[in-house]
Amino acid sequence: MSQPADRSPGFEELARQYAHLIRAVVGRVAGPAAGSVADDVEQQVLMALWKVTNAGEQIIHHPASYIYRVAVRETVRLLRDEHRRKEVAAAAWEMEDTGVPDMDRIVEGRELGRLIAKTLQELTGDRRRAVQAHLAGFSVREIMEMFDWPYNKARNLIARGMADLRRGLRTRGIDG
Amino acid sequence: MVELERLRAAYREIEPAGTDHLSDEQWERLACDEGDRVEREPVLEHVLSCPQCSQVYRGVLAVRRQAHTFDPGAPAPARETKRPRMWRGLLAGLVAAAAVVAVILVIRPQLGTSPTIPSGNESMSLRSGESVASPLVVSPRGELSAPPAGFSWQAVPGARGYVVELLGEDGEPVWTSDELKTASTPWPSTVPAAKGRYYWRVLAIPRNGGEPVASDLESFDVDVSASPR
Repeated sequence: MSQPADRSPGFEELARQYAHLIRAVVGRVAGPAAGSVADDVEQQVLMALWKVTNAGEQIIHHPASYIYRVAVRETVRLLRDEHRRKEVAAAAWEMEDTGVPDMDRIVEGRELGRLIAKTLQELTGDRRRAVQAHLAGFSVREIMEMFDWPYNKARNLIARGMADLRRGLRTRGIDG
Repeated sequence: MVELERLRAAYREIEPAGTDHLSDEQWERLACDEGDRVEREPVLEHVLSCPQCSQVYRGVLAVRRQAHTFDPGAPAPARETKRPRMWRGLLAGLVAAAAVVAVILVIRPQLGTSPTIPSGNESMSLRSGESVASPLVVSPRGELSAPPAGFSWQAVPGARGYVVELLGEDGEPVWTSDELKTASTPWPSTVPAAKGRYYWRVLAIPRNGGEPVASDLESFDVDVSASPR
């Protein structure tokens, strides 16, 4: 087979733009710690894009949508790797740390988590999803994209859902 | 008051929904808007409760948002692909008509002798055993061209006092009043009335003890930055 995949200047430019975008996204999402690997990311992404398109006839038919899928896959792989790397670093740090863990704080956090989970079950569908996304750290814009909600709807659901959550926590004895 | 960061930290302690992280194929389908709501719901349920998948999804959303600017083969941003304007207008008309019918249905029984229908039926029910009715907020509400002078609401029988809660546009509390004896209070001097959306509600504190009863959450938008009028 090895009919070479599309190596037109258009494709090369697209691959470079994706590599650049993914590098920026990984740096932004994974935080400053990802800075140490950021220089390699662009190169890794380019290599991955070129490798998968080398054998692909699909790219000849649907070059752009195919390269988008590859870019998504690469983003997921890099962010997963970065997450694992952080977990390993955190575990190593904990091993070295001789201090006594603050058990009160850990237990308190878990208990609050349990009460949040219980209160979330009492919220109606969209409010619950909005609150979960807000607590998971997603911005209003990201929540809009996630659920395909207009800006006002996303903002209202977050506000009203958070008010419900705090009210629910108060009934459970937490000054929410 | 539990700060948002503490709530977020505690939320991360909750066991994720479902045990498995998303597969590559699931990520691709999510990023390409493939699959219907039934397929997406459990996937998003896991993403929202799993710190690792939340972070990955944030990255996927960012790629999805920006890829379209240079790659015509990437899916268009969700808001651009939905409902043509013509249908939006029709839909707005239908929603308005439904709202009018709903208002009539809610107001008419209140005028008669039948029991009051609680408003805000979307909110969760935590008002069991309440001994006072929910207060009704009067102002501010809607679009304002200047910061409001204060807050007012309708007093309810059996209330010992009221507490006003003001929330910012992200739903986080920015101010809580002391217990008030009147049905109004001025804008707090400690809170700058900046441009943006605010939410507020009143909690009626029952005279005979028990849980405070909250009004529905009202919103208002301040268009200009200025001192309260």
